[in-house]
Amino acid sequence: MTGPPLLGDRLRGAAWTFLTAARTEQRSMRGNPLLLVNAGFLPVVLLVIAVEAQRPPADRAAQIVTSVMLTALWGSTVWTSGGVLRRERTYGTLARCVCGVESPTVVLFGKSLGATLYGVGTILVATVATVLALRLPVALAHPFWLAVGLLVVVVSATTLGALLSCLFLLTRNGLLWSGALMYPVFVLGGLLIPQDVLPVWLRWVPQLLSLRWINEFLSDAAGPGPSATPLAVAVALTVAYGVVATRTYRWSIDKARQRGSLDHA
Amino acid sequence: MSGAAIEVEGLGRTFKVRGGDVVALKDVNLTVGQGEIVGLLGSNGAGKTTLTKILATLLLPTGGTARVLGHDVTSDLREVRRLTGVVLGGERGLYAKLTGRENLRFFAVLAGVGRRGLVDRLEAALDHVGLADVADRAVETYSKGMRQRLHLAIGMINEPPVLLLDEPTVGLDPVEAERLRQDVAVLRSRGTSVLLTSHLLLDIERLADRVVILADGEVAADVEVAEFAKLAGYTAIVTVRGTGCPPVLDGAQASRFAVDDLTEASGLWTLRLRVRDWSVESFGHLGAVLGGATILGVDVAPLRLEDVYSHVAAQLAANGRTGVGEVRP
Ligand SMILES: Nc1ncnc2c1ncn2[C@@H]1O[C@H](COP(=O)(O)OP(=O)(O)O)[C@@H](O)[C@H]1O
Ligand SMILES: [Mg+2]
Repeated sequence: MTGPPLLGDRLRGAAWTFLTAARTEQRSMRGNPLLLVNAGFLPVVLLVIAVEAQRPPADRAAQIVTSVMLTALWGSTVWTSGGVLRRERTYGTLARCVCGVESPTVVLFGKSLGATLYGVGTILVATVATVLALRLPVALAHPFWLAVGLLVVVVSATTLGALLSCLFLLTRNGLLWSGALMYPVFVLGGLLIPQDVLPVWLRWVPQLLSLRWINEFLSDAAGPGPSATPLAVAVALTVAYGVVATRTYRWSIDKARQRGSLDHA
Repeated sequence: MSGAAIEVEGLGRTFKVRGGDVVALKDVNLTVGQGEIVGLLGSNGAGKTTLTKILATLLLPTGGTARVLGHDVTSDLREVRRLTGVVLGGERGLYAKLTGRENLRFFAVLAGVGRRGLVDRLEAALDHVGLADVADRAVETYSKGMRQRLHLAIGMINEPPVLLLDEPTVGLDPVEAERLRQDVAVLRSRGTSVLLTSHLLLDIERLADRVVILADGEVAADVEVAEFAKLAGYTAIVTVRGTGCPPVLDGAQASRFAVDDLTEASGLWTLRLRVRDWSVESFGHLGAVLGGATILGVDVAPLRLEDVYSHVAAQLAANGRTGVGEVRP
């Protein structure tokens, strides 16, 4: 037998598992109807509704497009990356996923990334196609910051998806919760409906959603110029999601191994 | 590395369920040596799957200890997982929308197979379990047997030194089951240690070095396969049909043969004898027993492990052990 693996080997092993998990999840997203509805169809509908009443000027159009895309991303996150562990349970694959050589968290985040990338890609394609079809004048003011924003979006949605996955795992009714969570955030998420329209006692809700801060960052980038604060808050929230997700997941797995419910549907 | 492949000491597992506790394992003690293949028997609910899951780190014990190649299954998870392959079988546990190859690839990486040589290894494993032709079809189109074979490929993909097989032949047709037995036989030559649960005693007979029977949460018997066969107290059954007066066994004959059953109907009788030790002389002794009778036919059936198991199960049940069911009279 060989001794304990070196740190470099450990990291390489974890990265390989992470990427394989992402790739596997991407493949299993092919033709997923939940993804097509939430990432493909939703942005088209929202965008058409938003701009057909009144054609916006170029800088405002960019903001609308951003809000619509992030709203669609919330929808697809709830169902796709947020559904990773729920699907694992349905297929009966959870046991193998948590009893691999690498940490279960590596597998979960990898899968969440795979689902997120697929969702973001679909949303981008659907949105760009709609923007072109509607001949919307969208100005790309700061391509660099746009790219930074996109990167943060992917990382943040990945972590948020993992967190939702873990929370849904705590209940046997993940599907129900996905449905229940989706629409309130459309209203309360501060993405489509401005936050100041909400009653004062509900205004804290959007503050907890990283996507809302990324929306602010991208809106600023399209208009007056990027500001650091919303980006920093989004990153901080993302880290917090990650920590809570990891803790919750470990706790759920330990509980399941104690109860003997790891391979329950 | 020295020592046993699997060491289980005082292992217990109690499940909390509504309305009380279910004791699946009470006090299990068991060792599987390196390179040894041990067959695990026991009726439904005896705790075989529970034991397998504890060894595979899927389930925590509520008492006692279990070690795989010296690594504790509750504290040294990473090493245990690296060194152990498990096949729990069944139709779940696979991604239905993904192809067989994609499933195998993902689980291979989880089991610690690196990037180098992965493609070749997948190819060889799929070929080995006879799924090469259907490897690029979605698993949802697979038959039960194909899924079971994929489970096997997954469990063995990292060539673990310790393999846990829980009912691997369930759902396989006779040809597939035979192929699986050959696969396990190959493992023997590689020096893999195997804990094999099966309802099919043929599996045990062909593959195992030793038999462990679980009953009532404890090990009720732990013997070499050759010894196991002797537990029944006989090695063959001779069925004789004849007319006229059926033979009667005297004292010396009764030490070699035991009358299992004697039926008479309309002048015909059928006598079933258990032969304690079948040997060349047995024919002579049998001739003496059947001496004056008019014989119509004789049929000799060697002992099957099924018979031993029924016998042992019946004895356990008679001793008040509830863990062994399905006892035939
Ligand atoms: N997760 C669980 N929760 C409650 N009881 C369980 C659970 N798993 C197994 N059991 C009980 O433990 C006993 C042993 O089950 P099992 O190990 O599956 O037996 P076997 O594999 O020998 O048929 C049974 O009575 C079964 O009902
Ligand atoms: Mg079982």
